[in-house]
Amino acid sequence: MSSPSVAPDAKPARSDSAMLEVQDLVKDFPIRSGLRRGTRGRVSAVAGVSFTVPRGQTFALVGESGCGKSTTARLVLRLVPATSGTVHVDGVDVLRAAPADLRRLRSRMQIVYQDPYASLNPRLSAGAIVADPLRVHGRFKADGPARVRALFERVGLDPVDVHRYPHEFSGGQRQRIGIARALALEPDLLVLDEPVSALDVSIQAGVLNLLDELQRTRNLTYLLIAHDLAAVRQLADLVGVMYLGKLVERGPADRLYNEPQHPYTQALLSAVPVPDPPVERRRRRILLEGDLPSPTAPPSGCRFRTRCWRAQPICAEREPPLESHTREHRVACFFPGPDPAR
Amino acid sequence: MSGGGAPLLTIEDLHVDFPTDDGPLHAVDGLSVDIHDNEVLGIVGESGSGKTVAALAILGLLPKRARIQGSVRWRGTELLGRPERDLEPLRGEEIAIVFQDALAALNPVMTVGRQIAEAIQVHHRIETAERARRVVALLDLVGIPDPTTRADQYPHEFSGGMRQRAMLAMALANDPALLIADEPTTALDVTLQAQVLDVLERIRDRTGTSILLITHDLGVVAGLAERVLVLYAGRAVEEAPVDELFAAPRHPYTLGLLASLPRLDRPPRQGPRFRIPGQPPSLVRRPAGCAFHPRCAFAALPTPCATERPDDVDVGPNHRAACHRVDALAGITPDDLAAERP
Repeated sequence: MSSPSVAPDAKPARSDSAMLEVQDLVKDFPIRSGLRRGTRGRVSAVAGVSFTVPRGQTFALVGESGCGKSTTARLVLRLVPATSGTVHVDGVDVLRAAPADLRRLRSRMQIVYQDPYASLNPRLSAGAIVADPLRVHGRFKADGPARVRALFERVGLDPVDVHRYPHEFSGGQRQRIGIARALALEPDLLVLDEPVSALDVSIQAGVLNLLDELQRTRNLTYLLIAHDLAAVRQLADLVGVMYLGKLVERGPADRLYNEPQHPYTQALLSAVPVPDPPVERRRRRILLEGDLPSPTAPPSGCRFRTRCWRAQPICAEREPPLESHTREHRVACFFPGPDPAR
Repeated sequence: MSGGGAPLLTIEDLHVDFPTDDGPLHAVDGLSVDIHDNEVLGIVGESGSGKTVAALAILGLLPKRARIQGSVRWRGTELLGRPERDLEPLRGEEIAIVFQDALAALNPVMTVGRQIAEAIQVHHRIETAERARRVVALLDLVGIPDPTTRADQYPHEFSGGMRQRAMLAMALANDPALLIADEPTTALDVTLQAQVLDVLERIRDRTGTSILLITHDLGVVAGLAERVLVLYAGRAVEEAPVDELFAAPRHPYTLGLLASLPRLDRPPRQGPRFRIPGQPPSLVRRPAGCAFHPRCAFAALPTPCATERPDDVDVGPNHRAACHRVDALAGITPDDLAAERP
């Protein structure tokens, strides 16, 4: 290995190799009812989602409740089996890996949950919670306690507190315990499921800083699941917007925030209030009509057409493919274009 | 402080304690504020700041174990200590309240119009035709298209956004002088949030109803409120007209909160984000002096910040801050602070 020498605190060069590659991922949940539990229909939760996350970068999946973003994350980790499609982590096929390989793979991909109150076992000390993945994978050796203390320091917790219990920590500190647990096995890929949305604003910035710093120093790849579009802009390199199980727009964060092309992306961005009175008074919100259609019977053609002000007959006839708008920026719409409200 | 004439509602030195095993918990700790006719006052604070407890105290809705001191006056008449039968006519008629989980308030087996009509009838005996006209006018006010037809429909025939609007119409049934909206947008998806903000703007612009907007979301306050009160640990730390509060805050907590907010309309800064250090204080064991001093970058320690509780200081017309160091903050904007590396 001959690599050029780098200053110790420099950000490692981002390699172009994909850490996570998701292709045509589909998840249908059968609806069972009746005495014989016969299948009465299917919920199309994830309907053909594809994206690639380069090593060391953050891909954010955003969208409202029921859009399929959390299911996508669970499919990637193979916590639920996919109906079809492929997921590759560092070139390894996750969905078809044999049990022994899957176990090895699992140590390389970890998850941080949204609710730091529900995701930590209240009867285990903070130290035991962080040590748990090491024990499960048979890696808690003589240096175990020292590793746990090092992890505490790494996430900004006081190692003296390893013996304390979750209820003795604040929300922000608990989220740090969850992050330390996720780091214990030195993963390459972290799934962050709403990592700051349960935290007060004055606490969020510290956790976001920690996530940034961990990514920089360990070249971690993040799959971020979030609904808070302002917080997402802080972390994401790439963003995918989901609606009713499909990606409607995908691209570099700057492009997506500055020049959203899909009407749904535009509606979402317009709805987030900006904490600046003169700016907020000038902004115009796009109000969507109707409800999210049922995922058991999604609309024909474009799934957003029933609420779209640009919809034409073709939108009901054909499904718009996720096509290039510019090089990296893709949009699934027959009538993409700038938002008239801007 | 602002507006002319006698205030609608006056809260003076309000204290609310709850007994706990560790001693009294000071949820509200000396809160004073006036609400005038035809204005929108935003009360902003993080969890545990006392904002919801204060709202419940106004309506006499706190549990019996709460110890309440101070004064809450409605059009000059004291409300604290009044028996239930005196408060009941006030609620819904003069003061209406909408909570976070508003949808649970709609009855699924009664038409929307009839539910609103009932809310009118509880307080006023008016003839049927007049009542029907009023129901349609209310649905129109909250932005429900085709209100005559809609009045005869059931809640399940309404979209989520229309149900939020109908619920607000019900709160307005008796043309209240004050509408208390407690976290009206929290836990809603952004597109639903947009609908609620739209209705609150309509109420502000088209009726004489004052709105007390209680929220943790400074973006919501920026667009709706005219005046803002910032709470920290049960106390008002700053009060100012909305533009001034955001542009030139004079309390270190307000300044820090604004500096640490992620913004949708701005790309992330390079390097670590500004953050307020530490955690919100325990309400059982409040820090001596100013409750914010352990987290404050401007504190003069130990005296006076850790020893004396700061009084309100008038720093401009209708602008007060409870801080010993208001002079040190003059001319510092949230952007200045955010640009500083922590």
